[in-house]
Amino acid sequence: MLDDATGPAAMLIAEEVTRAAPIILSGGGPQLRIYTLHGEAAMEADLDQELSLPFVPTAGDWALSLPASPEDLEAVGAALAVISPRISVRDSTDGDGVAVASRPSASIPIINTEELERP
Amino acid sequence: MSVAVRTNVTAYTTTHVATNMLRSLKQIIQGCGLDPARLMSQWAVLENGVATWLASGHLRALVLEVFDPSDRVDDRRGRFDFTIEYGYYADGDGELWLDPRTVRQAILKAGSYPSACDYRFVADTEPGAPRVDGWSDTTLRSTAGMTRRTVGTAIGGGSLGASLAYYTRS
Repeated sequence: MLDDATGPAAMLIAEEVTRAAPIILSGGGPQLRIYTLHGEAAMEADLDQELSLPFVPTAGDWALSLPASPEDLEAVGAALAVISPRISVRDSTDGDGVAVASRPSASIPIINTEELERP
Repeated sequence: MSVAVRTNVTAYTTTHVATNMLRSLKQIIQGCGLDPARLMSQWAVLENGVATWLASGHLRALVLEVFDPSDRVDDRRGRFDFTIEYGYYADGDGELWLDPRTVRQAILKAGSYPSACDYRFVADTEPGAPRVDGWSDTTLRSTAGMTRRTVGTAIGGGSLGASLAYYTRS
């Protein structure tokens, strides 16, 4: 299934969208966010520190989200739609795809101290 | 050690030139009003072939042919060539770069194509080029009666340069 998405994914990586917006794989274990290096940065990167993942990210019920520039959204979405509902595309300009989880107001409760001090 | 470093640099520069030729072709396809779906579905095969033949020194040019399948008499509508120069940088230390303005100029000059038009990619290779999965032998359409115009070198890296030219019907 992932092999079928090679074309659209390779195109998005070549477009360097994944330099700033990650490919997000949500499944068994921590969410995996994949960024890519390009040009001189790729040539200068030290790959000696690469380690294999201590978990299988595609274990269980997984989903893959690919970032695309607004002008590529429609074409990539159409290509992925016939592959699998597990693989989707999102607008690369809409944050990093984890905005809801990381938004402070979504997880930090607000305490009204005035109410606590009332008799 | 120096051999390994040189090998890595060559791999990066061939990848850079290969991927940016495809990026530029995508820009041309979209800019000329063609559907990028075919390019997207073939991207990995195209990139593999182009990078392989760049690395082996067999790739002479990567060609985008635009044609109208409904025209039984003369289906040719346009053509774009990325011609490879293996000695563009004599010392082999050219920086990795892409000039999108050169590509935009080719798009503006070539104009847009009717929605009925289709396209295909042809790699013009030297004899003895290694076989690559997904590619088959073919013959380029004739360019008789078409005018070729070169817009300049659009991509560079290592010792490689890729110049862009387009064809219009005279």
